[in-house]
Amino acid sequence: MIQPHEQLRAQCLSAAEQIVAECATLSRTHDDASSQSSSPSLAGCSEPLIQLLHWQASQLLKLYQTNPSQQESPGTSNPDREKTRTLLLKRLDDLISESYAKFYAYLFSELPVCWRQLYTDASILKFGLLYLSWPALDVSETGSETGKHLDEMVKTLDLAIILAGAAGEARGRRWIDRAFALLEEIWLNSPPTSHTTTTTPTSTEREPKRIKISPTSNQPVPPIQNEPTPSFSTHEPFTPPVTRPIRRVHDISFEDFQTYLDTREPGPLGPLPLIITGLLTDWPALTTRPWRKPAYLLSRTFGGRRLVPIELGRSYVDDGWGQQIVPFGEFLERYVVGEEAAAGGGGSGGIRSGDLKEGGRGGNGGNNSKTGYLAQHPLLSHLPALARDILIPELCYTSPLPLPLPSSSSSSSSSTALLPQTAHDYNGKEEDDEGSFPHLNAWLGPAGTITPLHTDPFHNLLAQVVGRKYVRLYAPWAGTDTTHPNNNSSSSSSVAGTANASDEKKNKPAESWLETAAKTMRARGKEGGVEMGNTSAWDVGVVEGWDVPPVGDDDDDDDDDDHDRGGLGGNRNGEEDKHGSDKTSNEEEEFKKVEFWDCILDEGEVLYIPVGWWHYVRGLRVSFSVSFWWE
Amino acid sequence: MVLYATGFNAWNQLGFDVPGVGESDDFSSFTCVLRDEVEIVRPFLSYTRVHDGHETIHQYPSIHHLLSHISDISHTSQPNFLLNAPKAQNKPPTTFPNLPNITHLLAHDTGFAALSSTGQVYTWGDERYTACLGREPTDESPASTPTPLSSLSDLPTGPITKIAAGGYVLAALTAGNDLYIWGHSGRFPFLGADVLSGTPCPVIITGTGTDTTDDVPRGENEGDEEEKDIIDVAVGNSHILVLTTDGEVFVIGQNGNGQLGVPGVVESTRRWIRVDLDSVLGVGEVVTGVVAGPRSSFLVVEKLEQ
Repeated sequence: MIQPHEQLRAQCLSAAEQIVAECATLSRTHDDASSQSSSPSLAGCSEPLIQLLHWQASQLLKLYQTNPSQQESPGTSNPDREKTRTLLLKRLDDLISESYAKFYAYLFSELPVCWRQLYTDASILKFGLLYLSWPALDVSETGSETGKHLDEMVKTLDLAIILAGAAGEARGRRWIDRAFALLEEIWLNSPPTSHTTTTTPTSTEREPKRIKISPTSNQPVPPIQNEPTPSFSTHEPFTPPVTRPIRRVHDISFEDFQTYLDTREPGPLGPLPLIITGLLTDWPALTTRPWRKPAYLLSRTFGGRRLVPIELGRSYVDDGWGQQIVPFGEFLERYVVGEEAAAGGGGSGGIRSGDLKEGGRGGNGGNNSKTGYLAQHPLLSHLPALARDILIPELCYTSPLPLPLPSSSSSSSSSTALLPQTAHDYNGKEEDDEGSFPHLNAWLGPAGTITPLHTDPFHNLLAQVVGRKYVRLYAPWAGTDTTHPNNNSSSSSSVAGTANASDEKKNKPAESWLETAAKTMRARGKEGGVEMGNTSAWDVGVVEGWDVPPVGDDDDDDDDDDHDRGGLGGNRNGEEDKHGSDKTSNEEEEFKKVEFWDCILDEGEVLYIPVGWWHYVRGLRVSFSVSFWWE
Repeated sequence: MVLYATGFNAWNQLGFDVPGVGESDDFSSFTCVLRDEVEIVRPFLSYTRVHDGHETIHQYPSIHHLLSHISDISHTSQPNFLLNAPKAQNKPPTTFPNLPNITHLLAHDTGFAALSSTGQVYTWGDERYTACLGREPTDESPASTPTPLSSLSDLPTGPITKIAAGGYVLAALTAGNDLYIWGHSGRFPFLGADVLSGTPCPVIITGTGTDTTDDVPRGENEGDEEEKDIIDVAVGNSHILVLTTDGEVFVIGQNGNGQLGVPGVVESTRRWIRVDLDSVLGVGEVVTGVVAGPRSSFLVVEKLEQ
């Protein structure tokens, strides 16, 4: 049996060999001046950068391939070797930052995949360099140093996943997942003396409500259910009233659900939202692998070291909203379980993705009193260890009908016209997942997280694993009178064609209900170059008087340029869209009359949100949900 | 003319003696790289293009692959500026027929800037980065249409005579040696959002900067000297260098590749630092111009007649 560290070493070297071979092939293609179409991957990065990557892979092999016995004894390595290592690390960082710059320059949807692969391959080589020179392999090193080194390794690969989608067929995501698995195994098996934990400040032991989290601690065995480790707080500071409850059914069968999707009541153009109870009883996440326990989640995230992207700010349409990439343990401690989490977090930020190399923005402490929300992140593919804790409901293998779209906007009026892909859907970057449904996202945050009223281009099953959420929904045809005889859509075969045909016959502009709904819901337009048409300008919490209207932060000088995630997340903020004066109270009164459905989604319940439905989601207490998108 | 260079040198693009020798380390301070009749210096990421009045020197082992990217672009404008946009050939060329007497045309990461002979500055580009446009797009003048910047007309020290652009920063110099800068502070955090914004803002450089190693603002001894007049400016991906009328060079921004030419700056600096030219230039040499590559800097130097 080969030791894990030998396996990981071999994996790093073989990645370098592959990269050398691929780059050599690409260079030859260039020399022939032939078309590059045959070589996808890195080809578009142009010859110089491919050559630069090629050199780095070769250097890594030169440093570590020939002498396995001489496995890096840092103190004694000769100066030339050290110089080579230093330059190699710098050049890999150069490649990473050059490719990363493209993430900003392009819209993410138009970013050529070669730049994501260049980022990923350079990161893989960097990881290889860091791993092969890891002082932990040398027992004389101090614990905190190896810990930092370990953090750097984790960060290198996690950023490649989060920012670049771990692109590349030969290596990419599979390579990184394997590397993480091996690295964690090596870490857990290493003698404890080599990784004395850098103890987190323990000053706040006196706080009884505070759950102690030490992200650097080494927790080999996941705590089991009945171990007395604390759960997330169930404190609920505010509970909105439910006025028009969504129907609840118990554990609906696949066939019954399909029938539900197919059936049209007179009036609505599609199925209504539905709460399904009893669907999650088999999920380990609710029982034997309890997601409500921070200690368990930490054990599944490399002791809290793994990085996750989080949203900071009340709502993604607010000024001052931004994104950060932080270690999971830090996110939990700062924004979810800590005392200050309830008060809105604090302290200086974690890793700003924009700061990879370009130098920091300084600790301007701009995060104070901001809500941190791990939102719409494909956490379960990012951390495969967690994916085992859930079961994909078979209900999302049903075939729902698409919305019967009006045809007025002619041939191009695909579903994207109605439901624009916006920046909020950035995780289309998980290219591998993109084609395969259901598409899973995780949502973890403290009480008070808000996802503003918006629509998604998919059907959605929202599974509530921990805590409770208030959800309010408006139909895609909100504000229109669907019982009007013009709308002959109650036929059971109401596919787009028939609905359109009938509309056209009546000589009524077919976009009517769609346009009306967009007006009723105050769908935003393009803001700062980012299509925000799927997001409403209405703030349900403000309209209902649950929240005070957000005032534009005036100290957000650099936080509102939330390009931290570059083309990925992009600028979701309108530059100057304020909840402005033009929103007359008249309009608000009208909006309050619009029919909606709402609910408080409880632990273990699943909410079906039909495609195109406007939804406003509010975390009432610490909440962990998984959404399943399908078509 | 003598050319000094510092910064990114992965392909030995700063080495004119033996180009194409393979991987090289960066230069951390200004180093004399060429003594020749240099007329034009145009640095790119992986090579440097120098025109000496007779022929053009290209630095990369062979750049015809790189140039082939733009072979099918209309040559009505200067194609050199499009080198960093290899995808451009996939889109039909756009013609802007009504721009009068353009004398400078520049590209940065997300847009373009042009300068007319009358000192009018036009910008256009990606609407997500309006700060780089230096104006708010409107229905009449959207981001994608070259539009004159009214904020750079009727300036106290005369019309704009030079523009520079790189990364997410643009700069313009007036006839009276004032420097105006605008751009995206999120992508160039070194100047501060109060200086670098979507509105062109004058940049004041005073004092001697500091020739010491750290870039921690010390006692702010500015004000002990009057504001510098600036005669040249160059903008890289994440750094800026300016040349003052008294022949001094000041730099700010990222130094990860040594592009500032100030070895003491470890990663980057958020304040203007004066380059210690005394330890760089030869006897009788004065800087007459500054040029920036994406991650490199050049000084164009003349030897004064004795």
